Amino acid sequence: MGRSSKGQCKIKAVTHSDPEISDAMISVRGVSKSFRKKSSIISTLRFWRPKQQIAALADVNIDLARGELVTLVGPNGAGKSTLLKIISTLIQPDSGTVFVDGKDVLKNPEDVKARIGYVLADERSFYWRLSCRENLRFFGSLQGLTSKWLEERIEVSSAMFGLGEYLDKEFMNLSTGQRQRLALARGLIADPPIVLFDEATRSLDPGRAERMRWIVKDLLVKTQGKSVLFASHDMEEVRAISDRSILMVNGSIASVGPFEQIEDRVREAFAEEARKETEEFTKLLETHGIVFDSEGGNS
Amino acid sequence: MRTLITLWSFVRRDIKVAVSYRLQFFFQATAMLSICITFFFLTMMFSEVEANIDSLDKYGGSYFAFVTIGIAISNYVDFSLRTFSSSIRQAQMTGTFEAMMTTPASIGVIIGGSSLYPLLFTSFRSALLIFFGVFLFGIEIKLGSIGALGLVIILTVICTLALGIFSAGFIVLFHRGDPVTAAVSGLTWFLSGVIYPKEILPDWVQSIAAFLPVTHTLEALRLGLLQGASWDTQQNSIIGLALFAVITVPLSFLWFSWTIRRAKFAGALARY
Repeated sequence: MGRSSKGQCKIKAVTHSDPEISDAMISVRGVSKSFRKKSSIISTLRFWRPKQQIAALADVNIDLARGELVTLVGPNGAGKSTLLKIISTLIQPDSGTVFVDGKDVLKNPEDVKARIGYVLADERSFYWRLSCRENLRFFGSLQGLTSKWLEERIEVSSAMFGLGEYLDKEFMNLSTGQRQRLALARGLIADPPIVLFDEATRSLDPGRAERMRWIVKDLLVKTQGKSVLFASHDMEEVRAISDRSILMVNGSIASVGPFEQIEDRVREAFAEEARKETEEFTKLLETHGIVFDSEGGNS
Repeated sequence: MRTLITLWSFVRRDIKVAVSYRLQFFFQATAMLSICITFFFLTMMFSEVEANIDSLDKYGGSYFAFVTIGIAISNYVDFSLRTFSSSIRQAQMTGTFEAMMTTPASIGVIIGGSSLYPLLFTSFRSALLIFFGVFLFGIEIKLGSIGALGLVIILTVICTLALGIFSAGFIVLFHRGDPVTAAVSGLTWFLSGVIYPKEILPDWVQSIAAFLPVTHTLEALRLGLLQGASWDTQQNSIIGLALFAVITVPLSFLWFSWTIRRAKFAGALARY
């Protein structure tokens, strides 16, 4: 798997490749990405790879077909967000190629971004003193929408996530869940053929998370034929919506297939990460003279 | 056309945010007024020696008029650069910068759009300062070639935009510690003749000052507003500003594109 940092997951280190799709909407081939460990002026300015680096992705291959919903599942730090950011041109890969609807992310970033709606995990990324409508109007105009079409899309995308009555409310007065819904509306405002979701239901209440899953699966994918890449670490959510799941562990693809087929490996990956952290914490406690009893007590 | 609409959406966004801070405009106006009052009384203190300062004759002989234009322009450049870089930094911190970068809008549109309001707002501040000087404190205006003055103002805005883009590149890369604003502000005050005529500086220092756009702007505006200078008299300042603009504008866009590529390589677009 080629991961250079400590703490390799014990899951068998086999790199799985997603089966190649001929007319894929997203095609990721041999993508690797590392980040520097330490930040300095020289390391910031140079393009060559620093000696001390953390591997975020290692030789990742993924294809997403037209009208397909694929979930990216894996523990925190598995590389899901990094992969989505590479596809949406926010991060440049060290190696490999990424094509979105036939457009190279490095050579045609603007064409790629015109085809993608990206719902960021960060629901703060709005202008706090502007209303929801003004925020959507601003980001919609950056998407190239104008006049009537923009206003129509604001109405449709906000209604989709139940934001109609909050449209003229200032962003700073919204709850966390409402902000997340506004992020969802922004991601879909230009009606893109491809949508990337990064932990998009994280701040939603169970009812709205369920509605959001219905919108993604039944409306966006089945009815409108959009292609969706949906990153999540919520197993039930992944089970409920995906046609196909990709398990990512330590920056590599550990398993690919229908969720039911890879569920055991997913559970194992989550458990392994948790077990590893518990072991490290127990060791730390021991160095401070605290013996931790896994049955629940300490001495 | 679409680009213009997108650029306008930046201005509309920034005006709405600025208007939501209702007292800001009031305090900006009072700040300009207090600057005017301070230099008016400072000039009164030196009124007896003012007539003996030969280097002021070229600009009409009034130190108050001289310094009001000096402060208005240096304040324009300094405040534009600070507002511009702080808006980029704030966008990084709130995540809106990353959100903008996910849209198909080009880097040129994003950076150009982000700079429009700071430039417009600081133009208003500087115009207000000169307005107070003229209508409340009696600065005598002898208007020269309006075409030359207009061109000087346009070129000054373009030069400030280029400097602002350089500054924004540093913010994208290092998040803090932008050296452009500090260097330009410091050198402008020292070399460009903001509060004293540059003619009192040694010749070799004056030749360094020629590399700063503000030096040319101040010379042209003072001669054009206080002495009614013609196009011919303004020609050298216009050439100086135009040269600075022609060299720095493409370089600043190249620099900013490079910093974005670098930030994408380092995965640092959303870092702050």
